[in-house]
Amino acid sequence: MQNKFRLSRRACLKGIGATLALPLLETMGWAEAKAPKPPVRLAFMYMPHGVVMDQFWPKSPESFLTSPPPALESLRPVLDQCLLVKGISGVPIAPFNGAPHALELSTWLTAKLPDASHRNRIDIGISADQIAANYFGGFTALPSLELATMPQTHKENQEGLNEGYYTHCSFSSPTQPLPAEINPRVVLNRLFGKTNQPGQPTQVNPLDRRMLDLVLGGARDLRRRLPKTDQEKLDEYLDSVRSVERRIAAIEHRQKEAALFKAGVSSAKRNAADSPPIEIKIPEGDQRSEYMQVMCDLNVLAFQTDTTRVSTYIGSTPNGVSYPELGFKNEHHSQTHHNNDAEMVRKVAAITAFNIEQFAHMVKKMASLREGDGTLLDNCIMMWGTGLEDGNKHTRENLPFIIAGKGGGSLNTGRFLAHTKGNQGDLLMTLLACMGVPMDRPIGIATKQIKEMTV
Amino acid sequence: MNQPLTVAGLSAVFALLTAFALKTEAALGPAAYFSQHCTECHDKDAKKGNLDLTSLKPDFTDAENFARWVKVHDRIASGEMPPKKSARPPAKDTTSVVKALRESLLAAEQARLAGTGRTGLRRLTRAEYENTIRDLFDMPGIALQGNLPADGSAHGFDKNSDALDISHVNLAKYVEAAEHTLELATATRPTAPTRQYRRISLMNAGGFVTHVVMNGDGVLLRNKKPDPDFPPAGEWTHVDQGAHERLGIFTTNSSTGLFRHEDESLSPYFIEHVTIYPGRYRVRTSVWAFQWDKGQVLPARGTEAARLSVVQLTGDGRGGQHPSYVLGYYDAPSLTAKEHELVTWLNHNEIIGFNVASLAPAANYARKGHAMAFTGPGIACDWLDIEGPLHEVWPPVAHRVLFGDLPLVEFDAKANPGVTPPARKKVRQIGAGKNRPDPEQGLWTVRSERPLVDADKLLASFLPKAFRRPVSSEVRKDYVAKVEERLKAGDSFEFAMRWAYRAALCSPDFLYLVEPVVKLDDFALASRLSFFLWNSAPDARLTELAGSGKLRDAKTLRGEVERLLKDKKSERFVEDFLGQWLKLRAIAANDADKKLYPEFGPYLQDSMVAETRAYFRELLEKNLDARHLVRSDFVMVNEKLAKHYGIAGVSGAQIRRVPLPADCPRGGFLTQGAILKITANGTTTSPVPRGAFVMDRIFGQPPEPPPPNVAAVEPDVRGATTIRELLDKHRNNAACAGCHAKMDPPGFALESFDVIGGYRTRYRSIGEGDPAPRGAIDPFIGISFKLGPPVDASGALPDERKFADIREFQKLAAADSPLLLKNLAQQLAVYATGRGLAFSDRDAIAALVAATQKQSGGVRTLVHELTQSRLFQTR
Repeated sequence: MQNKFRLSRRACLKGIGATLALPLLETMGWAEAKAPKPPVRLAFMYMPHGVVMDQFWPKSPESFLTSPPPALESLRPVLDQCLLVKGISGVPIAPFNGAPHALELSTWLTAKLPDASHRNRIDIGISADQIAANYFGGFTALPSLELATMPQTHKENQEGLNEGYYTHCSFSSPTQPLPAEINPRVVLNRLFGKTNQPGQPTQVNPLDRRMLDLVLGGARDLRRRLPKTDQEKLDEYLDSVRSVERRIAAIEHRQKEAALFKAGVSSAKRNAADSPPIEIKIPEGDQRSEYMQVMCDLNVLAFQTDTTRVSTYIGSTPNGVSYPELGFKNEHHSQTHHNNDAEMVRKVAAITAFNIEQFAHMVKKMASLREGDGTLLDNCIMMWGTGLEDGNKHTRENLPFIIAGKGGGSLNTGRFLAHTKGNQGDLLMTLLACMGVPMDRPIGIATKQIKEMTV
Repeated sequence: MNQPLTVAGLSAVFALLTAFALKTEAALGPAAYFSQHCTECHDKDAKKGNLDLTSLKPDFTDAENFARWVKVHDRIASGEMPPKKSARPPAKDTTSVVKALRESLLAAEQARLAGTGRTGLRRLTRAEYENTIRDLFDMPGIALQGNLPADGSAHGFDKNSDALDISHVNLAKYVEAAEHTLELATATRPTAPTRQYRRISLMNAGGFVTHVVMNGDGVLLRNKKPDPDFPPAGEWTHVDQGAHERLGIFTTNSSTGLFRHEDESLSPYFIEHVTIYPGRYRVRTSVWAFQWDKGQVLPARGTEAARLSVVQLTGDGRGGQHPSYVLGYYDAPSLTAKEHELVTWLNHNEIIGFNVASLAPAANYARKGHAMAFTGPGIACDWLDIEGPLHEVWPPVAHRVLFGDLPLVEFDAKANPGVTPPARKKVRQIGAGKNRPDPEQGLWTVRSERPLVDADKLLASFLPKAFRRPVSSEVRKDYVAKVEERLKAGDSFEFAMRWAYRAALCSPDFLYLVEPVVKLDDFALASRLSFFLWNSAPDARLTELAGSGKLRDAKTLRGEVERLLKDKKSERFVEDFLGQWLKLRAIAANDADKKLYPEFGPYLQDSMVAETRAYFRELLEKNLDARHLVRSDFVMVNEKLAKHYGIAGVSGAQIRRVPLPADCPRGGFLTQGAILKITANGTTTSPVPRGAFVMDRIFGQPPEPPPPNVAAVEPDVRGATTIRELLDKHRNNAACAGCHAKMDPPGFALESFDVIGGYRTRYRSIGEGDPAPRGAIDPFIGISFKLGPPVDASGALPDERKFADIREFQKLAAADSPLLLKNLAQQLAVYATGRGLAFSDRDAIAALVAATQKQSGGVRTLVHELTQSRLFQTR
């Protein structure tokens, strides 16, 4: 489906960070001492259908930095801060062989297949971003940020699977997909609680903890009267209330900190060398690149201001997406079944390069922002990737992905590891461990952490 | 890995199950039956259709396995297996095997489902949420669902527990929506906002329309002639809009004649009314049509259609927005002004938009000679009257729902020490509205002499309405206690109450449909009924009947179903059900290609949707039978659609029932524009998705999903090869043939219709082909497409009955009326009960179908039979 993103006027929200979001040193979850260590943030950005392999994988570990493959050209200035790992396999999808695309995205961060006994219902696994959000979400105003370019409305049931599998990558519980936001203005509002448009519901700080207490009281009362299966369903509701409560606590804390900051009380903690929060310009046209870049910028701003530490961005979805900006109208999916037709291969390569360019835009911006002793990128783990290796044959032996950022000094970047053995779950475990999440159980099919990646 | 089961092992498992079958007749047991007739193909070596009967575990507790056995059962029962080519097993063997399988499947399922609710606990959908709030507060146009996250769907509908999850995002949005609702519902002034009346024009200072009229996309008219004070552009060059405005040109009550259809740079609005106070408004307009001939007003070619819509202004109000929704299409007869009036709810910052809907896109803006060089149709709008907000009572019903008859008084800070005055949002106006906010009247709020007594009384009235069932005094006490807490913390009575109401509107009792296990109680039945037929909460009468225990009485229930269906609110059922069953919600998923289908536009699209809804409504009203799903002797059309379908003698914008000319294939859902558009991609049609849609949605036989690694067949729009030629290669592949033989035939029959539902005998092409005749296409629309290869709409059903075209296919399809009725029964049952149908529901569906057919098989009868059934009345 075409992205119908349209905004009527150019909106330039100047200095929004300065007034609305605190510089990150002032927020909670940081060390108290004079030289606080910035937290590690984790982001995932996604493109479906795989890549053209000989244009993505470097020829050799030695040539990686000097003559990178065409697909990575846009990342050249920051390649020394990137890590490429070949040999990470995706989740084998039998018995859902007829659902390669439905499972591309939903297995990407869960490293797990849906429960085959009730395909019509979402039941997969908690996704890696949400595991991180559970651990760190309490420290920030938003536990996590879920972004997408296209609305998550695709209706298709490959192999009888619930259509939600097609369009979701974040699952806060095995049965709970999280919706992604596609409107940059709404994202901005979510990040900084700006007042809404005229005619829309106003926010008179309706998030009131005591009100939730009352709601929770009523819900527990109702829960007692329900049979067990209903209780489980109602627990989703209770979880959502608690999640909102946590957010309120974080917001209250931020407000307190903001007051202290304004009063100059905590100025000793502020690091004057940090870059000020970036500006967000919401584009007016429907250029895909501009749109994706503003979503990326929002992600940067959210990390920079420590409004959240975990984000996912579904940069493109597996159905009906075309790239008119690249000068051809064909759908991404149809081109990936190229059977080595040169023209189709060229188009797939162009689409891949385009997506990586947007990722590069984000990563390069982060590399230009000072934070603590280094850059914002130094303290982040940014992963771009796709759910298939080769869209032509639906293979998933060597999932293509790029990691940028040093993860607070935990990742050993500037390398191409050409012969690694591991699976998608192993990779996610490794990244979460680098972020500081205690890994007491495997993610999906994981069996280990990939030591070669870390310092 | 599964332990492969030998045939001997199988027979052991089935021994028990088949024992009783063997008692009555000496037939073959399942294991022997399988080994004689099935395992030659379905063993672990051949594994045809990916089925290996020798290792398929007879374990019915596993859902996946259960589904496979159901498939085995269905294939044998339908006679599809063993295949026709092989030797037929004796009928009695087949019957006994099917029976044994059926019994064991039923037993397993009943054991699994015993004592549990089949319908999962679920929250309201977005549409249900909005409707419920609208009805609860009598605010029939409050817009809420756009701000709630989209719902998923399962078993084809969104009303299903599996599709309706909840996350912190939903909850945060519910809190916002509740706050917005309560803010609008609360009266904050001693008297109603002044009812303002204003006659406004499309030509107005600073407006879009003025700008284009000055350049010849329209003209000012007085007494059905060009306005002498503002001659048509071309004769005069209008240079300065400001100067005209200062001269008062736009306050002379002239009519505005427009030639130019709404487009990317023109959205005609009546900008002089921008709603300040949400509420009901009376809107009246006067329109007529004319033929413009280089300065002369002549009789029109016929009745044209003008569209009124509601547009939400955003930002500072100057931007061009698309209509939020259409109010309607209104007849503009030739040279005779016709007045149209309606009462509609308008939200803050909403305005009325206009469009010359039936005209082709044409612009004189940059053309030499402008209006004076133009000959063509125009629509004139004399004026728009707008009056409101209309308040019959003050405070309004919404306020009374919250605060009963408590007096509204001016807040006295001195008399209320320590109380935070209620916060009020300032009334803001954007845009160029001439309506003005009323002067500030100070801070007014409800007063309670005995706050806790009143709180208890108000909550005792509100909570059961919101929760759709009696509410225990303990629950109410919790709420009252919190109100007390808020009052102690310094909230005003109004805010303390609003706080409690907000909690109620965010509580699961409001957000979830809570039903007792197995048999519904009277209140749950009332809810199920109203969420089925109104897509909203029960009204006072339904609740009263539930309270007095009468609703369950068959005659009363029947009467209520009739009442609900007759109520205007049942339009929501038609809209919501068709939106999902026939996927009408996806009508705009693809835009028709502008080169191939230049005649397509929003008027045609809206008419298509209106047709499908009106047709279903007609089936319900006239209690017509299920054959009408595919074939009919009448059609529900307006002029636009009639022309599109090639039916003569229909004039005007309103949809009405028209008898079909003999051998016209229109009428049933199959051949309606909306369905034909939804099943195409805007550029080309393919028999595969269309056939799949018909098999799934109309016949209730969804095809198997496509196997992996198969590239889609991409039609050739250059016109060199037809889709059938491309598809034939694919169908000739043995692996594909089986499913396509079932799936494609309806699609072949529908090849006679293009992507916008027009009838065709040849494909349109943008490459090769012959010049295309204009046909019914408006003369102001340029044609650049060609006519390509001829259409072949013939085919054969899987049982080898052949059809030459759509009419013959319709005849064959209509003959399958039990199948059509069964599918409709299933769709309605899934929609109404909010759950998928299980193997053990088949008898219930069959009973519904039988009972309906006994009473001549009408759709309304089916709705009655469904609501009376155990299926509907249990969880």
